Amino acid sequence: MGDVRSVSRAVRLLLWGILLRVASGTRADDLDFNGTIISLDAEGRTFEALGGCDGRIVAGGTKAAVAEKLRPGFAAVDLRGRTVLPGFYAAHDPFPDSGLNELSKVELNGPPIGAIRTMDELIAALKRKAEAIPAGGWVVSWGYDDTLLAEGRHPTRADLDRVSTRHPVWIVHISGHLGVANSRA
Amino acid sequence: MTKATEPPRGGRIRLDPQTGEPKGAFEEAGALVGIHIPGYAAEQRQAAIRKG
Repeated sequence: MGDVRSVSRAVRLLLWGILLRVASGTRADDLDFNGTIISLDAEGRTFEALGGCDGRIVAGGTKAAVAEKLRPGFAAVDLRGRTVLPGFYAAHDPFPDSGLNELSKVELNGPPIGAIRTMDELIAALKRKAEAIPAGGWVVSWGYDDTLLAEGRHPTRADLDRVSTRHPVWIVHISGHLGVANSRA
Repeated sequence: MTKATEPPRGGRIRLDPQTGEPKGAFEEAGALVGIHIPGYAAEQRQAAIRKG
């Protein structure tokens, strides 16, 4: 009978522990081992094991050394020789838009990225594109910068009507938040 | 696109102060034009990905 009570108490404590852990938002520690962990830190260190606690890396080194720094009950993951690198974070890179821009749109950036310095140069660049495609085809551009144009202003619909009246023209500012269209568009 | 065209929420279509007609500039409202531009073919997208 005493054994049954002890087990019952242990189960209750375990459930309370799980409940408290879930409620506090903490996660089990984890130990990744048997890998090649390239830290890319200032010293260029490479580790065989990595320790995590509450979603953060807390230790790198040998398996034994990392294990000492984790709370009991950590989850162990055998990397089986795999390589681990720091996360690559690129939340705002408009991939593959950069490729689409280069392949299909007219380059209107000013120096040092591009070569457009005046409104006439901007119009000429667009005109070259319009002359290369059939009437009705869209002339699209990205990257003009009013602050780098000698005129110090945005192009207008009238400016873009000088490019073509037979092609719709749409150019987007370097910021991506403003665009200008010609009358045909 | 006419003087009666409504900009999207938070966007602005610049109008000629004298005629009220659109001047061609769209602030945070590029989708009004973008929806008329043909999309890219799969081959073009693949080439863009390779280009980066």
